[in-house]
This record gives sequence, C-alpha cells and structure tokens, in this order.
Amino acid sequence: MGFGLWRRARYPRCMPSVPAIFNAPFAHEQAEKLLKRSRARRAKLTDQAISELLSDTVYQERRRYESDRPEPGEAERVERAATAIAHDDRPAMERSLDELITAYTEEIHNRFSPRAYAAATRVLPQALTRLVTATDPARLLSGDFDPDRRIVVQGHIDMVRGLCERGTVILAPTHLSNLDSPLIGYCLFRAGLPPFAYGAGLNLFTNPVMAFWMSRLGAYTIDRRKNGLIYKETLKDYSVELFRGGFHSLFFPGGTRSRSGMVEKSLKKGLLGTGLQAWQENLHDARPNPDVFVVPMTLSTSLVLEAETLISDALAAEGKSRYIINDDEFSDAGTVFSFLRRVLNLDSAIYATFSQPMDVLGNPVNAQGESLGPDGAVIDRRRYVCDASGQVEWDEQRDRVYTERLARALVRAFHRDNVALPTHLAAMAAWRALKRRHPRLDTWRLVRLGRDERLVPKSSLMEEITSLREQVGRLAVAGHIRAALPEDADDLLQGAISRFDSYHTRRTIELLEHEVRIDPELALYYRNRLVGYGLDGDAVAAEVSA
Amino acid sequence: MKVSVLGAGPLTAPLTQLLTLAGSEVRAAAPEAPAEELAAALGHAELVFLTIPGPQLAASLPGLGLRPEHRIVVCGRGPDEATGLWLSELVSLRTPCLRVGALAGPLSPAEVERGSPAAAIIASPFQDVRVRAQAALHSPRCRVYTSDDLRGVELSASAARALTAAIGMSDAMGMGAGVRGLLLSRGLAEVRRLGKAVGANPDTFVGLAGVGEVVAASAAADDSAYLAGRALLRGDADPHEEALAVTAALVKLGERNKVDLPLLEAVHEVATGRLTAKEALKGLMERAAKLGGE
Repeated sequence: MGFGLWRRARYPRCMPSVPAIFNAPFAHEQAEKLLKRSRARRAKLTDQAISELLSDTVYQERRRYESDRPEPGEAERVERAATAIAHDDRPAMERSLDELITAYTEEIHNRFSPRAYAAATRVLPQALTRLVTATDPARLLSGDFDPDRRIVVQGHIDMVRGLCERGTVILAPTHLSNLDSPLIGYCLFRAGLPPFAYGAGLNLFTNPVMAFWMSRLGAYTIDRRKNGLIYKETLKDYSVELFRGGFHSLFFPGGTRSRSGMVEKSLKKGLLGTGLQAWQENLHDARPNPDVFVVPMTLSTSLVLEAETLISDALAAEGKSRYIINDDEFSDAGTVFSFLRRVLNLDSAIYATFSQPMDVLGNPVNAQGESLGPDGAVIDRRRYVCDASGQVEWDEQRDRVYTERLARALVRAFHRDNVALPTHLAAMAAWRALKRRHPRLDTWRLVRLGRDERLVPKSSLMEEITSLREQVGRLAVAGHIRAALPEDADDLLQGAISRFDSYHTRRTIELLEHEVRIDPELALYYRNRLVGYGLDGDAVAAEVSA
Repeated sequence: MKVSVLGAGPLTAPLTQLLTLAGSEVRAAAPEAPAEELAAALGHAELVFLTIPGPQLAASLPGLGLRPEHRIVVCGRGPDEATGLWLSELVSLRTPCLRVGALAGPLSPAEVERGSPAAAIIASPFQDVRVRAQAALHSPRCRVYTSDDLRGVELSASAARALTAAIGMSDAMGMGAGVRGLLLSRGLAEVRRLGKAVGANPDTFVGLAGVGEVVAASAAADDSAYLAGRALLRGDADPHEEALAVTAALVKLGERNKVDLPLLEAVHEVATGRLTAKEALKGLMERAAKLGGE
C-alpha cells in the first residue's frame, strides 16, 4: 500500500488551528482557582454548614468504598475529614476541604496537548479508511470509500465556526454510545472546528493507552460514582473556569447514554448551568469576549454498538438501571472494531447535526452572536441578568429557572434535528405490528414473548411501515424531525434488515415466507428513537410541542 | 416600586387602586394606546401587570413593546384557545420576557371600589417576580400570598371562572344550594385530575386561586363569569366572554391529556349550543353511579 494512495484521499480537508487558549493551565493553577471559589463560598457558611458539607462527602465516599476500592491516599483523606468533623475543628475542616478539592481537581483536570491533537487528526481519517476497507481491500485500491457518505456532518456548521471566534461554545450532544466522543471529535475536525474540552466518564479512562490519548485530546474526567457535594461543586467550578478561560467544551447534557434509545427528554442541569454562571462572571469582570453559546448536536445512527446491553439494562426487572456499565460491548475491543467496520460500510449510517446555536438562556442567536427574540429581532440578553445600570444581579434561583428553560430548548432542538433512519422506522413498525398481534400485553410482557409468539404477518408489518413513512414525512415537512428514508416501503424494510443483520447477532426483524419474526427488545430499542412525536400512541413531549 | 398596568380588562381599575394603596408608583395604559403612551408606561417599570383578558392577549402582545428586563404578571385567564398555551407561556414564547408570573384570587372590582379587604396570590417560578409583585401589591387592604406553582395557579384561576359560570347557570335554573355544593365539589375533583395530568400541584385549587375565587365570584351578582353562566340559560351568552372561552380551552386540554371532565364539558356543550342547560344538567345527573370520591 503506497503512501500516495493515502494522500489521494480527501483527508484532511481542513486542519483547524489550535487556539492558544488550549495551552491548558497546569493542574495546580487550576486547583488554586477552584480553591479560591470554594473558599469564597464557604466564607459565608457557618461551622455547622461546613460540617454538613464535609459530612456529606465522608458519607458518600465511605459508601462508594463498599463497592469500589479507593485509590491510594483517598480513604486517608476522607478519614482525616471525618476526624476534623468529630473534633468540630473548623480550621481542620477547612484544610480537609482544600485537600479534597485539590485531589478532585487533579483527577478531573484536562491535560490537552496540541501536539497530540494534531497527530490524532492527521491519523484518524486514514485509520477510519483502513478500518472500513479492511474487509474488502479491493475497495481501498479503487479509492471509492468516502467517509462523507458514511458520516454526514450537517446543520449550522458555519455559524458555529464563527461563534467559536466570538466567544466560548458549549457543544451539547445527544448520547447513545461510548463511541460518541470520538465520533464527535471526528465531526469537529471535519467541520473545521477547533478542539473542544469534554467531560468523559472515568470508566473510559481504565485503559491506560486510551486514558493517555483521551486526556491529551481534551477529555477531562467525570467520576459518576462520586456523589458528594464537594465533588459536584468542584466539577461545576472546573467547568466554569474552562468557559471563563475560553475553552470550547462539550458535555452530554443527558448525563449518560440513553438506556432506552429515546432522544433525551430530561437533562442534568448542574453542568448545563455553568455556562450561565461563566457568562455572568465575564460580564461582571467586563471581559472582552464574555459570551458563551450553546450548540445542541443530535447524533442519529442506524446502529448502536451497545444496543443489546443498554435496552436490557433499561428493562432490568428491578427497574433500576445501572448508571455506569463497565461490561458492555464497548469493553471488548474486538466488538468495537467489528462494529465500526460494519457501520462505516453502510451508506449514510451516521448523522451528526449541529442545531441552531443559542445563548445560555435558550434564545437563538444569529451569526454575529446576538440573541434573537421570538419575533426574530435582536434583543439585549444582558438585561436578563443585569440591572438598569448594567451591573450583574446575582440570583441563583433565577439562574436555575433560566437553566431549565435552556434545557427545554435543547430538548426541542434534539427532537427537531433527530434524523429518522430506516432502522428506527422499521423497528417502530415491527413493534406496532407486535402490539397489534398482542393488544392486551404491555411492554414488559411483549419483550418476554416466546419465539413463536414473536411472529407477525408480513402484510401487517408492511402496512405499518407505509403508514409510519407517511406520518414521519409529514412531521419532517413541518420541521418536527429530519428524515433520511427511502420512499418505497420494501426498500426501507430491506435497508433496515441489512443494517440490523450487519452487526447484531440476534435478528431484529427476520423475514420468513409470509411472516416476520421480531426481536422485541431490539425492536423496542431502535423504535424508541422515534418516541415523543406522537407516532406510536405516545404523547408528544411537551418540550417538543411548545 | 415602579409598576405598569397594561390592559383594559375588569381588573385594571381595582388593581391600579390596590397597587397605589400599597405605595407603588403606577402608570397604566390600554394595549391599543398610541406607541408613545405605551412606551411611557413601560419605560419606567420593573414590573408589568397585564390585565388584558385571556382571549385578547395573544393579539395584543406584539404591540406592547415588552423588553427582556420586564417582569410580567399575567392577570387574564387561559389557556389561549387557539394555541392551548397558558397565558404565561404565551408571554414567554411571544415576547422577549422570560420572568413571568400570574395573579389570581378573589379580587372583586366592586368590593375593591367599596374599600373592602382583598386578597390575591402571585405565582411564578421566579422568586424575584414573586417578591417584587408581592412588595408592589401587599398592603393592609390587600393580602398577597405567593406560590411557585404557576401552572397550578393558572389552571385553578381558569377553572374557577368555568365553575362560576356553571353556578351562574344553575342559579338561573332555580337550583338550590345542594347543586352549588355538587358543582363546587365535583368541579374540584375534575380540576385536581386535570392538574395532576398537566404537572400542577392538585392542592393548589383548594387555595385562593381556585376555591377562594369561586366562592367570591359566585356570590357577587355582577361577576362576569357568573353573569355569563346566567346568560347561558337565556341563550344569549357571548361565547367570547373570558369564562366561556376558558371553558372551551380547558375542555380541549382535558381531551389532549385524556382527562374526564364531565362538568366542564357540560358547560361547554351549553355554551356552544349543542345542549340546553336542562339537558346538560340531566346528562350530569344520569351518569352512572360511581364508587369512591374521585
């Protein structure tokens, strides 16, 4: 394989410059900033309140140690805090708080490396091409692999690029798979956008090689097992400091992968609100580029690597899904590579859509970064947080309500820019056909049907596909969803089946002579991507209809 | 506090009076006033009370010149029939104002004019709006309570208008206090069901915005909802009257949320001429007997 062939490929089309702001401060500098914030907050707290804050962390950490072995030094720190609380010794409690915050910051901190980023972005497109064509070396020689047909990056890309120059951008994507982070990294590169810092679950750092690269490509660590208030505050402060430093950042506002496969309807407001905090602090300090923008991003994929594990988890009998899953398909490198190779061989298998950018209050913004009112006129967004003299009026309660509004705006954007794909529609049709055959059974019983009970007439499935295709078409015309579906119902079904069969070992939809056998769990999972639009008797989400 | 009152509804005069009594600096304007007059009324205000009746609010909003810094308190009753949106939602979706609340409660224009004590409730998810509106209106003449259950207060105040119309109709038919009690208690059950379905606190209806307003309005012979109910029996009710428009919107809301609302539906059927008042009452009384209170 000659190097010339690789050079003929159209990658990299653009190599975004890495802004100077990505010369990340060292951990101890970052820790100093976070300590300063914490000390300012706690100066207003009584001894009792400090004790309660610390007690919460001691309790939560001790509880965590019951299932997770503490890192060296971790348990000792927590026990020193417990001793300080027991002695009601404020200076010692303050020292313990400082010690915990410093340790948490060290763990969270992003060690972004422009050199590593440059190297990775040079290698990634070629690696993708190699991965895909590995199944069919002849295709490599013919040079017909075009990643742009496999990964469609669309939406308000130019506007986002412009906003990155005008302020700090928070990218808020939907989340289905652990592969989303590298996928988004690739999309940012393809869109000519600068690198983004992003919060990644600590479980993704368990492999030292992955950890080295992720950290240097912009990932900071979020340990979802840590539930103490001090950890959460440190994480939020870290996020505020990132925005204040002008670091464009990415985090998944749903908090974790969607277990059911549905587009997120409920978002985590804690980190989401840090953009508003940073913007107000920037205004207060009269910084030159104070603005923070939020860009919703919807990822729509024909197949999901962890689909089988995630839906099983969502349906877990005890009804309590695991927040962190360490033993899914992502933990097996062979499965990951096999999945990627198969998915990237499918045409238009992945859509990444940059939605209309908005301000931190959920108002749309124009290309100049100005906020727009409902009538499209430019509005002065500072007046939402400043008094008549232009001074910031601090109000945490108000900011929580603003952040809820932002969350609703994100959810609307996620649904509007979700792309209905053949696997989603065929799965919903299959689920509806199954329900037609077993009208008295609820979801829990349907997913437990025996092999013969999963058969439905093929005609019934085709009717459902035709009907749903029309409904989705109408929704798409009205701008409630995007769709990439063939017109013909047979083509749609065949396309869906070939996609399902290319990866899942279980047959999601198995065509027999006159009947179709359906895997209810997988049908439910992929069907769920179209929930919230009123297609399957489900209520239209209030956030979507507003 | 500097306050604007925009609107020409029945609450405009009593509200202006009570705000002034509470020490607020009030400027009032009608929505159709010249732009300069509206701008002058709004220019100084940190808090704006919109006393425009619900059915006219959507059409009035674009011309008001509201800005992001304004905190808005909606005094009309919704939902808006055309869109199904609550009036506070209408304001936050159609204007740049985000800090929005609603006022409800037994504020009878005649009683305020006579100098009787009054009471009201201000609801908003924004503490800032609740605190400012309470400070602007609270006085020895008017007790003002607050709630963060905006949806519940808007629903309760609207349902109170519909139930007052039902009581007006039943009074016009010569029904006794027993039917009043029946209407109030069954109405309460319906609103609680609807409240649960739309994410409101079902208990809010028991407070000032709901029961407080029904009791006061149905005892006041000049209340517009009560009069609209009486007009239903005569067959000359104006379907655009706020209480009847609100009833139609609540019935639609019930349908969307699959909530059974036999009493409100009966009032709506009469208002739209599909049933006579007698047929509606007969229909309600002949419903199958139920076990339990809900």
